[in-house]
Amino acid sequence: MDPAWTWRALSELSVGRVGCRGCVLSDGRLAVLGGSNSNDEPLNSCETLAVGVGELWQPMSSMHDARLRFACAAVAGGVIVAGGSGLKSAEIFDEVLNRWLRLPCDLPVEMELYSMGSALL
Amino acid sequence: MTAHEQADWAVDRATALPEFWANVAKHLGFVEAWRLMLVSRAACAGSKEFLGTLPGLIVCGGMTTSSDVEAASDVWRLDLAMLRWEPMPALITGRSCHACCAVRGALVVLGGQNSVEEFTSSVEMLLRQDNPARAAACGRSEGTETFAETPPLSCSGIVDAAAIAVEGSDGAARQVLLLGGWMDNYGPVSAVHLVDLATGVCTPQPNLLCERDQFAAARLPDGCVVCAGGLSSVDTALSAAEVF
Repeated sequence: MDPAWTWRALSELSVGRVGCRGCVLSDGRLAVLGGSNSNDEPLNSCETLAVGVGELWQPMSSMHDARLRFACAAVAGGVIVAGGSGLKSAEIFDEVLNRWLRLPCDLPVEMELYSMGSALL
Repeated sequence: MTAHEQADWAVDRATALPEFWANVAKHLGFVEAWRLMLVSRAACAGSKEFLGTLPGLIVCGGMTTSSDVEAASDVWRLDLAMLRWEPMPALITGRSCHACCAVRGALVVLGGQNSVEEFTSSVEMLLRQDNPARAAACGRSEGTETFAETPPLSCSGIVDAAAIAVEGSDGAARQVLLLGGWMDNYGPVSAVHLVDLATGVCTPQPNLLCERDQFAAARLPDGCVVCAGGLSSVDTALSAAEVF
């Protein structure tokens, strides 16, 4: 990082989100997904921001399940999420259809998996 | 053969080629590639060819509940061509709330808390053993993947930080930006460190505007790093976002 650069505040999310996850969609927008709000309620809502273009958060289709502390990655026009507190299910956001679809492949755990690391490899 | 018949013949020839459908699938994306499999045998083969080029989603460690809540060492990879979770070599240290990212073809796992809920500064990396002699000496077949410990973080143990791979000009070095997180005795921090994975040395970078942990972070296509949400130092859900 160039030490001459500094962090710059962006507009605020529509809601506070603890344990949310983020990824970049194929058009370059940042997507922030899930988390829990200030009342500790899990969220299935999602929002996107185009940095440098208006910079206002826009609502995105909500996930089927409210998730926090889950696995997340964007790949080939989709966003895959899996697990989270109390969950082992997985779903994908299809950027073409603009909606979430359940995936037929739950995480291979007994009940739940959360606070895991995730990456594409 | 008329011009119309010639055109039909050309279309039939093209759509009989899996390569054609692989190209279509590449442009349509993951979900549509799966739908294309229903079109024809060639479309199915082409879609599978495209899906086989995609990376898998790796999920490592975390908290799991069976008879008890515990930090897992299991690692799974979601094969996007089969939609099937495949087991991978386990972490050396079971951990949760760790930072994780892929750097130059390696999976890197940093910090977190171990099975007795102690903060750890340990770092491990999933490497591919391509040296046949070394693999044989270790009793592994050539090409076997395994986690290896790398030097621990010099900046202390940390949980719920975010890791972003640094694709700098130094082609050989593996470096990671470690952002925010919760440090023992401090709570959520605004610290940002550039971690040299070869040495574990953490070099301070300009701090975040907010102290935060459990937040979203990503690198945009132009190289900017964005952070949003998380838990603040006064235990509230953050709606603040920032970009570097």
